[in-house]
Amino acid sequence: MSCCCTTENVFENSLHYSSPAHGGWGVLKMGHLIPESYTLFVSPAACGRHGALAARMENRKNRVSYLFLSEDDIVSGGYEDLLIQSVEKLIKHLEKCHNVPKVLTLFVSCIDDLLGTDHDALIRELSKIYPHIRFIFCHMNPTSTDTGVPPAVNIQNKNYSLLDVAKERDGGVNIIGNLAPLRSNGELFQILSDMEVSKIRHISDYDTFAGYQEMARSCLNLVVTPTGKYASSQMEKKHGIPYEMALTSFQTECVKETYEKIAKKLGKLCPQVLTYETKAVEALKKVAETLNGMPVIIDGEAIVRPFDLAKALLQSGINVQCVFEQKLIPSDKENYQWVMEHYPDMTILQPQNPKVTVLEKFQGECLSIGYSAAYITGAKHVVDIAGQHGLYGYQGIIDLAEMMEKAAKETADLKKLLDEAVIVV
Amino acid sequence: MIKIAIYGKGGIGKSTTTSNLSAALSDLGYKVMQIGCDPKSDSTKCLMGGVKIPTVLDKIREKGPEGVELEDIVFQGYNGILCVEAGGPTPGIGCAGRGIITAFEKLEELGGYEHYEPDIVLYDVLGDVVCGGFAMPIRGGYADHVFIVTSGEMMALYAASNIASAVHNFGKRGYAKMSGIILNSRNVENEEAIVRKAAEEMEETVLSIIPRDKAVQTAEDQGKTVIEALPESTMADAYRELAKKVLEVSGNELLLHHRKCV
Repeated sequence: MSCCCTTENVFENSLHYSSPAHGGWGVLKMGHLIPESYTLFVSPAACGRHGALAARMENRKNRVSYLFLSEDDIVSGGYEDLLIQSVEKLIKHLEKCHNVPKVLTLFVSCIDDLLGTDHDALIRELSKIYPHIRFIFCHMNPTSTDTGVPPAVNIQNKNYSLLDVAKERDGGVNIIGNLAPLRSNGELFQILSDMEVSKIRHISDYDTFAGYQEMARSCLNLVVTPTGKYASSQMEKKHGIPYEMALTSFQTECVKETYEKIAKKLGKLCPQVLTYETKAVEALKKVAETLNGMPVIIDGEAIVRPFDLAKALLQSGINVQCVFEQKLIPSDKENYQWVMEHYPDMTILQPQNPKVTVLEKFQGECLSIGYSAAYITGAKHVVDIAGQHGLYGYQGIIDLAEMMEKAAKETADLKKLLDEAVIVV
Repeated sequence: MIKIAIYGKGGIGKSTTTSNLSAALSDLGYKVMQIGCDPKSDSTKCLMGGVKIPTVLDKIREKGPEGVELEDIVFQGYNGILCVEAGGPTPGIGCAGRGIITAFEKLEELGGYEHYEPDIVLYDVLGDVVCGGFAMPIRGGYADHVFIVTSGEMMALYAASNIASAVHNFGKRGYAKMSGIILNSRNVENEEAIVRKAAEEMEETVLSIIPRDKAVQTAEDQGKTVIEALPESTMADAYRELAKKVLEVSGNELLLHHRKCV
């Protein structure tokens, strides 16, 4: 187990290891958030495997077709023509099946980046042939991971780029950045309603592309996950919709600050949150008692800002011993520094660093929040959570505390959890 | 802003022509940016006193994709000309075309054009349009006009024909248009006639004839353009004449109007 105080040493660039528990929302699934959309995935055959398996397992297989590229397609200069011909063939087929989409997303891989394809020109050409279909290019290009616009950020921007500028605004608010919708039992909805927000919108609310356009009417974007920030900044430029960073936090004081920020942005008074706050503090206290010193491991694949959660749990007397995080994200840096300052013996591990494969399994009782950390450490108790699971606000804290309590009382069947979560390696 | 791409076979004198063109345009009062799109990254050397500037790709390698700032990649040379070198991979390894794309994307991402607001951007692009990367400057949003530098030598004309063909092929997409051929003389026998005939076959015109003159070498030995080192020379006049013609075909009315407004 390691202990280090500089991020450079802790979060090193290394060979990558992918555990059987590694995974989550792929870019294809993110693209499928667009209502009434269909995808043509353009890549060498192997690159389509992950998305295809996940689509099959999640009943999305009728929303994607594949164009597999060969060496000849790449070197001949016929790639752009091939794309157009393939789209024509696909749409002909979809017409026969009475399944013509409103949006066709063309997912291209890193190969396309090397070819320097002119996407704008192709879209113009396709739009002339099929004026009733919207086309966008999306990228499944892991080579862009270290750039300012990695795939998960880019795809969110692409999704929202399909919103047309609305003629009129209303008092609605968009929730941006989270892929799964926020849990409906959260106090956020009541608080926003108290602030006279007329409608709270998330991309997953819409079954039709026409209905989805409603999001362009909102007066504010609330960014609850850092990956939504870029899309929101682009929406501000295009639609004039301002945005507020309202990231999910498990620290009660941060939740309060976020609600106060939102109220200020909307020009409203912030409703009283003390009742909610008290319940959240009690829930944390209760889970601390239940765990009774049991070591807790936090997985960055389950919680977007794992050091935020670590700080919250440590301040509540919960024995967080280890945080799994591949790369520290800027919005979690302050929390990381707090954790390292107050708990210098905290173990930080990278789930994709091959070093974790030779670690000894955790001895004795311990609870992992997330799958990868559970797999690597052999944790007996596992909180069944991936991709933050819609947790938000005080209720998010309460729900997570309850999930931890439940997990602490059961021995997890990790394989079953992974199967149910559709983790495709 | 007018964006101009200058193409031609490697070694034909593109960078010399482009740098002198930049210097002449700058002397006319325009704010000029020259972007070298050649892995050997010496396009702007004579505008920078003979010094090679760090390239965009060098800086991305050194500081990481997120660490690069405009000041790392844009340098002021002769008369305030903004100099950028896209750069390229280690010779023999990597993908030079992708390098050009990455450099362009970085410059755009950092808001280079908006920040410096040049009146004229000149892309000095290597050789044939061999792949999507080297065609990047021709594409929508980048160059509006393409000029080809050639001599009367067969290989230079062959490359020119390829480039013209690429520009024409892309024409239907609303890309840059061919705006003329610049004959950079090599004292080949019947050179002017040969190039004019080739231009005719390409359905293009010869915009300007740059004579062969040792002034170019003298200036380059000093790490300067002819415009800077030998401003009184006939060669400097030839480049000034070229600048006027380039402005004529590239919409100088717009630029003059812009200047008056400013």
